[in-house]
Amino acid sequence: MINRLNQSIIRRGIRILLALGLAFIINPYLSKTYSYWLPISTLFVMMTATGSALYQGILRYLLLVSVVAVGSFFVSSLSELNARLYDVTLGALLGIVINVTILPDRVDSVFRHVLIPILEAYAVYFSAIIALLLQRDFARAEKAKTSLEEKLTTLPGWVFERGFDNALQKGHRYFLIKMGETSELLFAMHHLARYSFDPHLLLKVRKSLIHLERKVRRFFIALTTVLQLKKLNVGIDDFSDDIRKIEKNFKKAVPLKLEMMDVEKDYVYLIELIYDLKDLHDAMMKMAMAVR
Amino acid sequence: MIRLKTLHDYRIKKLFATCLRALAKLQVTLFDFYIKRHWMARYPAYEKKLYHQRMTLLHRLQHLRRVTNNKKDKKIMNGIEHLHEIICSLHQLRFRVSDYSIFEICDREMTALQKTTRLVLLQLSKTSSMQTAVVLEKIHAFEAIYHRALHVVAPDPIVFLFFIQNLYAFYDETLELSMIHDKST
Repeated sequence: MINRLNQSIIRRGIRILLALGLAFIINPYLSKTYSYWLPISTLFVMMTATGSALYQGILRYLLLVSVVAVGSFFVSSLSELNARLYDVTLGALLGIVINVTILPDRVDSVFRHVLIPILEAYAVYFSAIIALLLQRDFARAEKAKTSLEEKLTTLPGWVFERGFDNALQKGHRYFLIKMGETSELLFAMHHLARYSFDPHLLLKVRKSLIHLERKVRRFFIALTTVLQLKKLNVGIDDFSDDIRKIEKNFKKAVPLKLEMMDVEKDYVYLIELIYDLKDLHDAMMKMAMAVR
Repeated sequence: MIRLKTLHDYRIKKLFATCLRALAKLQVTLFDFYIKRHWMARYPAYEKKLYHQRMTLLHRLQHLRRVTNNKKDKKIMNGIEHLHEIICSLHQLRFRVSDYSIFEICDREMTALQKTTRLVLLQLSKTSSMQTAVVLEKIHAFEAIYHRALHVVAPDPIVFLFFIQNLYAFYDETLELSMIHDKST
């Protein structure tokens, strides 16, 4: 089955082929230079980022005009310069119009569908981190991390580009920033989970961690369901109570003051992990609010 | 056969270097959050820069992962991966301090840390001898300012303790990586 990302690439391919075909057809009739300035400029103005066809198309046209003007000024006559500029303008007009009107980018749909596999990979990675912490399962964590890193390379960076739909940009950019924060948090937790904690200390928080792992996984899956525009069967479970329970158990196990904590690496790392969990909760809640 | 192996080793070495350079760039940008405090006015631009640097690093790591096939290379690969995790953990600080004027107190120490950690990563990428003593010295300087001022001024001082702990983890990991590197050269 063709996924949304591939669909987007196919749509872009069709647009470019159509525009280039038209450019080559009209070139012998409308071109003033009888060379290939017209199809070249058509292709050039269509090489824009997803969702920024008009703005970046115009920018690329202006860039091409200045390059042609400067280049032709020294080596050719004024009439030749005029003819080239005419061809470039005609080609650019064709490219921009087709890029904006024929099979335009469905940015919102592509954005949502690109994020789904990443959110699924977050769920798997988080479970693997907890397994690393409690069962020392290094291989599972490495595998999950590799898989997530692969998926993260598909993050839609075009949301940051200039000329991207103003109405969508703020919300999409916010969501993407939260995704970046979530990735960083998971990597940070992986670093902490590598450390071999005192088993007695872990025992105090083990039960709550297992409970929390299930809830976080469900939360990520619920987010993917919402992004697929499907109806949620059950509501999203807030897991802040579970984090509070872990914190309470930790404090019960380690009734130390802050000044003493720099003595024991175990304590500092475990409390840092609790901070990471809280931040993960905040980031996930903000993502949930954004997709509502 | 020997020539092919040398070529492979050379390629791997180059890839390690590109990953470490990408990591150094990312580290510099993340430290900018504490040093160039005007970033808040240009938040989307900073995030865009971060996004591109993260993507470069991830692409390079993936490339490296595809070509590493022996135990020694995998060990270095894991070291770089762990360094990346430590850097992510280190810079959680930027989300945990809401009053950025606190960073004015440790501005000099942060700038020194930014420079030395970058230098260490670049030295690792060039296989030249690492100035580990300097890194340790800068960490101690930060620890001193933490005990002297940050500990009292910061609303939640423990986040700086995490930062220090992660700096030590960064130091340990770079030391380990340089030792593996030295053995292989």
